[in-house]
Amino acid sequence: MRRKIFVIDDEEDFAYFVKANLELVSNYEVIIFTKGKKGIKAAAKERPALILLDIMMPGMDGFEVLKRLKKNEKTMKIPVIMLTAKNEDESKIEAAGLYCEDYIVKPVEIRALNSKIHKILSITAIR
Amino acid sequence: MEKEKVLIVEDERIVAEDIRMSLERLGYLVCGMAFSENEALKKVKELHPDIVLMDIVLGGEADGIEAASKVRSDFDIPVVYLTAYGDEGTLERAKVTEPFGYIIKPFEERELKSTIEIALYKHRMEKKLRESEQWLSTTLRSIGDAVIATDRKGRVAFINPVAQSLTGWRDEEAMARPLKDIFNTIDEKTGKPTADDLLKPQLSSSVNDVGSSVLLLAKDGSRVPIIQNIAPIKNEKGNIAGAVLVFQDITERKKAMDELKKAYSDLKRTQQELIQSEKLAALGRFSSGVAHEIKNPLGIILGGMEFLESKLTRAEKSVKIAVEKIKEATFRANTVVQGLLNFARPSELKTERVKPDELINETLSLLIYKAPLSSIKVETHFSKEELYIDVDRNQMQQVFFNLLLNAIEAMPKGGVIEIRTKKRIHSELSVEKFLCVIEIIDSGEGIPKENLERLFEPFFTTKRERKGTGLGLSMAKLIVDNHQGNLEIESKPGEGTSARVILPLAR
Repeated sequence: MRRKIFVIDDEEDFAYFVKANLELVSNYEVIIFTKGKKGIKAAAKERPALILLDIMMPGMDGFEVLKRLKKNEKTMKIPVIMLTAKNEDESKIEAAGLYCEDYIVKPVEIRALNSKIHKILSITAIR
Repeated sequence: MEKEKVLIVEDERIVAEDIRMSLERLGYLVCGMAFSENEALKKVKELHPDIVLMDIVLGGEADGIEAASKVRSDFDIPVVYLTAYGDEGTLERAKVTEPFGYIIKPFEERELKSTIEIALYKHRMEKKLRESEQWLSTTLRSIGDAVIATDRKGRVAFINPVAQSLTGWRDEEAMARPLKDIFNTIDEKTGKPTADDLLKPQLSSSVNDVGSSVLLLAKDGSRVPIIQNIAPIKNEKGNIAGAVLVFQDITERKKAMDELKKAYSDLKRTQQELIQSEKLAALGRFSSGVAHEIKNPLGIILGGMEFLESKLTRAEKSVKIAVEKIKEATFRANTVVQGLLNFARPSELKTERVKPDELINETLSLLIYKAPLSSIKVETHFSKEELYIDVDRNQMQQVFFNLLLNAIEAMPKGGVIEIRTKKRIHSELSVEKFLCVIEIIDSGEGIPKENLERLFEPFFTTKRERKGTGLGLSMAKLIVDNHQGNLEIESKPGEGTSARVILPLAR
């Protein structure tokens, strides 16, 4: 079975190309959620290998989603990479404080993204 | 009215007595009679007569003319000669002593009276004139302005002490010399002599301000900035009798003016800098919001292009080039947006104490990877005194990097970059500030004046084709400003540019 990666981002088109490109260069199945709440719910149920999470979203923002994912026993071990347009130090510090695994600023080349995902998944596999 | 006192000097007693009676009849008080020169002088001293009637021929060694001359010069008392002689030689000698009248013996009482009255009147008038002259001359000597008066031929007739000290010509040297010998002026701007005969128009016209500031060439060659004013002197008939030139040393005034001008331009510059920083800050706030909105679509474009790229493995080369170019443009746009975000939130300074020389050397070593330095010679002249500054190493490196890159790009055909560090003490309102000046001077093409004013304007670039974002210098300025410093750029097209980073010295 292909490992699943969730993309939680309100920018549908961005998420679309992340999915398209990632699926081309890797063997992951990429599933898109444009709302944080739905993403959390699905994550608890489907236990994806990794979540790519946007920060600035209407309704529940990425920090809140991250907080909830890391609080829930069912999802706390899923590595989360913040994938956002926000490039401020404060934002990075806040995300790190909420135990995200990495922080990537948009726009990002697919090779770079893929290698980060690969690296994080290898580390979590050892754990 | 008090009677006028008359002293009679006559060696013949009978004649003297006869004159005394006549005078008393005419209403004068004869205060004394003298029969010799010595006695005459003694009595003048004692009695202070209003007038002396002096016989020209006195018995004894000295005659009346000599006595009269002393009376006149030592006591300022008018003398009327009494004489029986009408010979030319005696009269000629007598004339020199400026007598107030002659009475030829024998005389009539009427004649005596009119001669005495005229003499007294003339003396009073002369005295008045002298006093008034004295008063005027004292006034002119005492005033703070320099004054030179000339006769109608333009020869110096009066020069007051201030004028003497400014021109370097003493009273006695200057007198009767042509004015242009003493008063030599050149135009401050052109250095050429101002109108060589400055009296000409004045001698025919009225008061004239000869003009703005000129330099007076003093006798010793020194130059004094002055303002001058020249007016004709007219006699009571309205004819021109000369000219009066009044001038002032305006060295101090000029100095004050220059200081004022400098203060004004400093103020103006500060104001402009303030506006510039305000603009930058406003732009920063604005761009913060916009930047996030741009980064997402950029993400989409990049993602889309990468997707296309992967699907175009067998596509034409030109299509692949097009995709590559769109990707490049996306990265460029992203760099600009990132720059904007840095404006929005200049990250907090992580200051450490560093030597500016170290910082420069580090930046130079980074630069080698970025820019071709082969045709460019870098000369460093670091201050012998050890200087330290408290700065954010990375940010300040970015500043020097930008400035050096600009210098390199200004010299496509090669040249010299001079880097200097020095200490500068700046005192303002008697507070001394210790500054470190780091100067980067290139020998490049320079910056046209119209661009110089816009250098720190974000997105202003002349390097569009070289992928300049127009943020380098404005970022550099922002960083230096954040360090309580100042970034100054001076440039002369064709000669080169000098960029100065001025930072507070670490204590």
